[in-house]
Amino acid sequence: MTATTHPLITMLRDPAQREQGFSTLLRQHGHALYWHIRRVVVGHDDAEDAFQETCIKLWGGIDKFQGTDEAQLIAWTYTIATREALQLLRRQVHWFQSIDDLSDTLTERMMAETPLDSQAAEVLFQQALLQLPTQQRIAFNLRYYDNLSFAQIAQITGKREGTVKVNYHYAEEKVKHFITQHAQ
Amino acid sequence: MKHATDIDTRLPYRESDDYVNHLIERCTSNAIEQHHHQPQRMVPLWIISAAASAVLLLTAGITWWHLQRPATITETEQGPLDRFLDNLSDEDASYITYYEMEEIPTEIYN
Repeated sequence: MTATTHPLITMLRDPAQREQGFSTLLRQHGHALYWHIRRVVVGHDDAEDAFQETCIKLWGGIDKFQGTDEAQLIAWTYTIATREALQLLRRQVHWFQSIDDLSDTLTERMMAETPLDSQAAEVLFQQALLQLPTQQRIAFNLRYYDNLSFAQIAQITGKREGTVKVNYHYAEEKVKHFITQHAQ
Repeated sequence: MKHATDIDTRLPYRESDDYVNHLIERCTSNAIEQHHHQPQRMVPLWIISAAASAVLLLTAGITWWHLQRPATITETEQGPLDRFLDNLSDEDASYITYYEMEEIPTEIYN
């Protein structure tokens, strides 16, 4: 059976329709990508920068995209967004540090940007997420917020599906534990 | 645990949809425009790096060879002393050997 190429991918591959296809792609998936980046980098300005870089990389890398269906297209956009978000975080640590060391900084940043009328439970939930190692946090976010399959998350993060499942499971347990410990 | 549908996923971040729409629009046109203005890089970065490394290695090799050069010349080329010894007759050579032997302290042989 021959796989048919998704119309949006056909548009992206056609130089005459590429700009229109790119605008459509971002209109359809830009919100999800932005919020994914925002949850990884946390800071508002950082999210804007990483999103801009993501758009540039997406536009410049269309020719390299080999997939034919929408799920592959979405995974590709998330892969680039995740890479750019992590790249931005890496620039915020010293060469001898891991981005996992940014946990406290990101929590402070999140608290500073939290509106005063936010619900305590929601803030606590975000705090719990920011305690997680980055790979676990990304696996959790992509599954919990973006409803992506473990296979898609594996493709996006470049890990094996089993590893992603373990990361998600650990993340879930840690979030539950953190909330139980800190809830009043 | 709550599912994503039970929670305001954006909390505690509060950017409005209008803000995100505007950002998407701006970033879309920036990406397209920037790409138009940037000349396409024809040679991949890794090839440029490999070429630069090769040039560096070559330069280092040539420098090293030049530093080693005097030793090479004495081994392969004839200097004035070699030419003198080549033209020496057997008699002169034995005289020089005898003379040099005389200079050696006798206690070495005892």
